[in-house]
Amino acid sequence: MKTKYGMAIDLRKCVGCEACSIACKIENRVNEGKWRTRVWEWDYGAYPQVSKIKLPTLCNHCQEAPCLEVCPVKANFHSEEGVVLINRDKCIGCGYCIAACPYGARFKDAVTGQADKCTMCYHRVEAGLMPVCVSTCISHARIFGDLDDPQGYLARYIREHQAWQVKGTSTYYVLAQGMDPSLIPKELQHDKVISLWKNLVHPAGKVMMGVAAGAVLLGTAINAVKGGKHDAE
Amino acid sequence: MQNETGRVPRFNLMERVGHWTHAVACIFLLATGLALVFSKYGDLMGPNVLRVFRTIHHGLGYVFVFVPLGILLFGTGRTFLAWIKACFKWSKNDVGFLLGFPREFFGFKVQLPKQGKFNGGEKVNSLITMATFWVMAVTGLIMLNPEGFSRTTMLTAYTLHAAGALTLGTVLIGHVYLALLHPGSKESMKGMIWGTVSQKFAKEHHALWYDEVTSGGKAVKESGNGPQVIRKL
Repeated sequence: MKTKYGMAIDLRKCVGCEACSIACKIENRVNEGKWRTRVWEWDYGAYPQVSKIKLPTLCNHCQEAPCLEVCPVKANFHSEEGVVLINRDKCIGCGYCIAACPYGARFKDAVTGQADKCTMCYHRVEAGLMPVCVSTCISHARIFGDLDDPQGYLARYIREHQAWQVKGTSTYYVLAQGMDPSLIPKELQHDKVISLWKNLVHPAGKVMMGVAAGAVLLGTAINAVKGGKHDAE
Repeated sequence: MQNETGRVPRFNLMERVGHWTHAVACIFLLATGLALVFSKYGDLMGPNVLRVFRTIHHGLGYVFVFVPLGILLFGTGRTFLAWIKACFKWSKNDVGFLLGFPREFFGFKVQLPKQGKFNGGEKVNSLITMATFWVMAVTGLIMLNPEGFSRTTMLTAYTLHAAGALTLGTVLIGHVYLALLHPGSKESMKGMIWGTVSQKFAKEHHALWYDEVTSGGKAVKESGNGPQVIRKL
């Protein structure tokens, strides 16, 4: 049975207590001033019907993740369950993935010099626990589980509460009443600049360098055969 | 003047120091940076070496941006600006040079039109060097100080940095070939190391420049083994 971990966040329930952000920092020893998950506060509606919304965000664990695409050393990878993880042995801290993430979910760990981000508490999940942001949530606003198990709690919750998927990712939001859906993270879109960079500039540049090297080899060979005269005085 | 063993001054000390600091920085920056483009090379180095490469690359970047420019601007500003001006001034002879030079590159004889201090090929090389300098400097400084730049700006910077690096790599291969391996151009290497070239080379390769420095100039024979120096009065 395939498993695909995902998370639904019920914006009707989140009260913005930040227990998740703090628990995450403690559990994962996140650098001072950096966050793997945050709770934002936005206003919506028109006066006098104005509401505040608390909006937790985290790594959305994209399927065709831009961070995987730009990593030059293949340090980013999907776990079997679709969780985007960083291989600490491979990451050299170039920072490409930090720039490539459309959700601002990544940052540089000042201690290790490597990229850091939410792992869905993979170490806890592997041990049979919930991600710490889920188990610490006082209002049960975060639901973690297997998206591929239609009878599982997460899949049922998404169906029953008509959660919005951040398309292309493993994150779902149940909107608060009357809330503008544009407030939740945008669906994953393939970035043209990344394509230009990786699919055009790199191959074309390699061809250019290859042609130059070939020309030099050919020139050197011709000169060797001809015993080319040097500009001796 | 008629003395064929006389030497013609071509590059002063600051011009040569400026050239070689730029050259050394360039070579090490390419050797460390291209490991993230040529993945087999990167794999061969392994993550620990790549981390050292990263540190070298980031430090040397500042040398590349500030040291050669400072040396040329403050050490020999007049000739530095003259070089830039010359590279933007194009004549029929320069175009003729570019049309004929591919044959010479591969070691075949070709009659090239008379050239000034910098021939058409050197002008192209210089212009690419100037253009890539700005591209690499600006994008590199953005990459080293990413705070406050948008995602698109960052991704564009990475893309242009890769394009600039691969262009530099291509040009460098040809440049090194002409300086070290090509039989017809060896004397020019002496010009960039010792500062002078033979009269024969100056006449054959840079006739217009030779005429310019010799008309109204005179040869001064120094005592001992010292080179003959022609000074423009």
